[in-house]
Amino acid sequence: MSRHRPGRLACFLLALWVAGSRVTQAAIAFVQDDVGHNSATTSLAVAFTSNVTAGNAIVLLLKTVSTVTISSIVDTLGHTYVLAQENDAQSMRTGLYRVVNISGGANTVTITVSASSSVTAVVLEYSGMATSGELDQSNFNSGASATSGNHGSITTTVGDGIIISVMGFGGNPGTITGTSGWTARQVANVRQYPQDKITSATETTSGAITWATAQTWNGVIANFAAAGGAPAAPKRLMLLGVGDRARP
Amino acid sequence: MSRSARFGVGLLWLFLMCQSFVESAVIGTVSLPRVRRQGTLVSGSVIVPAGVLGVKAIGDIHPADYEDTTLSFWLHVERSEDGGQSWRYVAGSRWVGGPFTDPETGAVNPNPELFFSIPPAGNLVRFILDVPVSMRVGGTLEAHDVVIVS
Repeated sequence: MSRHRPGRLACFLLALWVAGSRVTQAAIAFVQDDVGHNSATTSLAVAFTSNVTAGNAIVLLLKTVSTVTISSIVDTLGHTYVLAQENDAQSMRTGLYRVVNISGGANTVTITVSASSSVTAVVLEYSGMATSGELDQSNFNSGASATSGNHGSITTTVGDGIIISVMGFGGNPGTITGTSGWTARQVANVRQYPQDKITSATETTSGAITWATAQTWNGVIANFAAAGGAPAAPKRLMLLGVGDRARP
Repeated sequence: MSRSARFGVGLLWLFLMCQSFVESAVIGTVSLPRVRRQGTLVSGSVIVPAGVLGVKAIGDIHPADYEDTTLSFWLHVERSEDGGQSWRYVAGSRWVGGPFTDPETGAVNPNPELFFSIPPAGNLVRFILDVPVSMRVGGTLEAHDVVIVS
């Protein structure tokens, strides 16, 4: 009987690990978004409608022209924004930035560019995002005048997470049809299209969308892990260690 | 009136009706006239009506001042949920003088237009011009009943 105890112990620990994993893998949830756009500006400031919550994440989707560079991105809570993906094709510059484990309070994000230009910024707040190692995959894509396009293909490696994309257009694209199963977010002047999708399993996607009037297009995409949903490899190593110790 | 004439009038009526649906109607506005200004100028406020689908604040710069690189201003928008007792920041943008052609539209020296998230209906909104060096500038804040495309 005692011979089987190590095996039982391993099974018990495995069950505990699986149960624990399910409890700690909180799903990501959308909290709020806001948008600002100006066609001739050197700095653009966008405030969140409500105070942001400590521990959440902010994603910034940026669109400007390719002839300018991003001089700074700051907010009133002092966060540092990290670039996940940028694309400067088709005379446009789109970018996807994020900051995780934020401080709470009233918050305004200010983007400064190197010269007067068109600047569009969408700020999104999410709860449940991993506070480190959050970026999983990213990609970009662009094309000449057309009525459809995508953001580049990604194959996610985390199940619980979120995929976010933004498409910039060279002109007014008219009515836009987003990717099936995704949620459209704030649009300021119709020349950019942000969307996201909360995931519970890995997938391959490019966030393909269509629009009514042919325009040049430039998109970026990235996915982020939920808290506790980051790569599971370390946990498996720990389990193997326990199992090894349990063997006679 | 002949049948074909009646048909033509009917088509015209239908065309005009369709036009009225796609034209943007300004359903709320507040302005500061374009005069020589310096300092922080606060507009009056306007209540955000129900049914707003687009909002923007527009700077109105004198053409003779537009290409003066010594000039600049911030255009800020604020909203109030309590009838003007307290104000919360919504969005803002900085304009800096100098010749400018919008690469997307080709517009030369366009007035800056600030688009921002639509505040909840019933909120008061206002804009602020922060002008460090004297210049001829004004502004308008508009709420539209259609999505605005720039």
